[in-house]
Amino acid sequence: MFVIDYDCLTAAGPHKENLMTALFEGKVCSHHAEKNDWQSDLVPGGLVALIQNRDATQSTVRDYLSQNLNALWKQIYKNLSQENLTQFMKSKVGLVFASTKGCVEDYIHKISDEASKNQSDPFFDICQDFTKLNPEISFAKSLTVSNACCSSHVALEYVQDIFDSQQLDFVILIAADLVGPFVYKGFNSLKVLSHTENRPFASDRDGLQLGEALAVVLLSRKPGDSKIQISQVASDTEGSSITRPSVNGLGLIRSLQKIKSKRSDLKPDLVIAHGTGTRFNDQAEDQALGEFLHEIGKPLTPITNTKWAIGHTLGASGCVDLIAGCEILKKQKVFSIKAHDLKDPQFKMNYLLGDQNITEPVEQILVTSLGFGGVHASLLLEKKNL
Amino acid sequence: MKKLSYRAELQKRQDVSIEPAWASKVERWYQLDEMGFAFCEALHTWDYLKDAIRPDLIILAIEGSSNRADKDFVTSGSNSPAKFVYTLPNISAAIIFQMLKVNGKVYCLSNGKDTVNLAAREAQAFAESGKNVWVFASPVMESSSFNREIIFSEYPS
Repeated sequence: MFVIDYDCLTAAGPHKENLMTALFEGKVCSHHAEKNDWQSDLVPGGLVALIQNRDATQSTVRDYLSQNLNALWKQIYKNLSQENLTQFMKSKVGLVFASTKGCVEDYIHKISDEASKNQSDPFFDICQDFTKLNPEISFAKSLTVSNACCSSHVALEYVQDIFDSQQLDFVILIAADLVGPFVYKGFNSLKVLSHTENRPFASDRDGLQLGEALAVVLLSRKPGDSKIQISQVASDTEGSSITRPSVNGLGLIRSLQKIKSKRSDLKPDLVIAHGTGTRFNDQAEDQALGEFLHEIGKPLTPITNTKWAIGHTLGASGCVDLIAGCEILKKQKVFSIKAHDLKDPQFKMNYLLGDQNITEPVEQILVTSLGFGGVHASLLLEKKNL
Repeated sequence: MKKLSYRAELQKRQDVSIEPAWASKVERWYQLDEMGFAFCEALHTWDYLKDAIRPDLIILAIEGSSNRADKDFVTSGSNSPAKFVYTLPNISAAIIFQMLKVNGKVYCLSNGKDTVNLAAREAQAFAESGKNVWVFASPVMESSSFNREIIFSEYPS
């Protein structure tokens, strides 16, 4: 499938350019949560990277997501080339929403037990609003994919299957998750929130920082004038543990091997790793990437990630990493993990830390993802290869 | 098409002092939420799945998503890690895979009240393109004393 265009709103700012500036300049967008972030009785101190200028008390999550996802889409639509616009308007178009918790914060704190049983899911309204705000598009499909923090990757895998079976020609992938008391307290209860700094793949890493993101990606079955292609997406869900990745990163290895089975000439120049900064996730990811990159003869492939700057944006994180990867391919400039420069000595892989950089051309990028519920996923992003 | 169903009364919290027959298959079975418990009961009942050829894809379609688990987490004080993990809509997939000892591709799909029908349409479309698909769905049963049903369907028929 082909990437036509994209944009995102993160704690770094309202557009993809802000995201890339933060990643290149080493801007960490998080702060330690305070009670007045959401006027809630939460335990403060966990790291959160919140979108600026969003007053959580002034608008519902639904309204905020619907308005801002639409604003991102309108910009993409406005920038479509004449060729893509012509194709888009006469083709079958689908809408896929990727999210972990949608707009659950809007109602779950005040709804009665009884009413919660018949409450619609927290994603439906976002899809509905988006279709209503774009009446000129006749959506042949509209649905949500919610596979925890792998939601974006799994949504892309779903789109890959839809395109392979020629059900649709274009898909607008919208992805979003915001942080509120529900999400914050949940992750805090799991004791995975860092209260110091987020340091993915460092020996003293002590947890993740939660982030917020809205992302929109326009995908096409046919190349059009796209310069970037998602050559393969693969996930693997298993039941070894509900909250931890599989032992030795086996699920992630399986997802990477599925990609290799479709691309025998796989030679990634870079990996954008999930890298939450939690003890188990980073360890499993290091083991999986170590085994896989050795297997394909690329053990020194540089590894970077985005969460140190803009936080872990849950179901939207895969889309944010995809966008960062697209920008690397376009600009041929790679960002490092600037939050620290001390790799965990137990880790074997080639992490780009501190001011480290690479100058070699980047043609292929692997983007990995892990999620609760035993889900592991990866995708191969590359310059159009026709 | 193979179709199996299991009716679950989620109103009642399961008695964790009584170990279910499938307890050894599921990590911390005593922490399961009611939906997860219902899935385990259903899968334990369905002998057909034990030896069935594994599918290319599993679609998980739970109407109302994890609203019930979400509310349970909030009303319990929002500090229980065990309750929080069940607020993720795809979590039943891990339980299904523990019960069946398999791994694979899962799409956790939803679309409001159309969620269960959506899953059937998607499975049919994928089956027509050559994929074997299992659907695990759970509609809300409004006019029944049993308020949930777990339904398994296999595609192609």
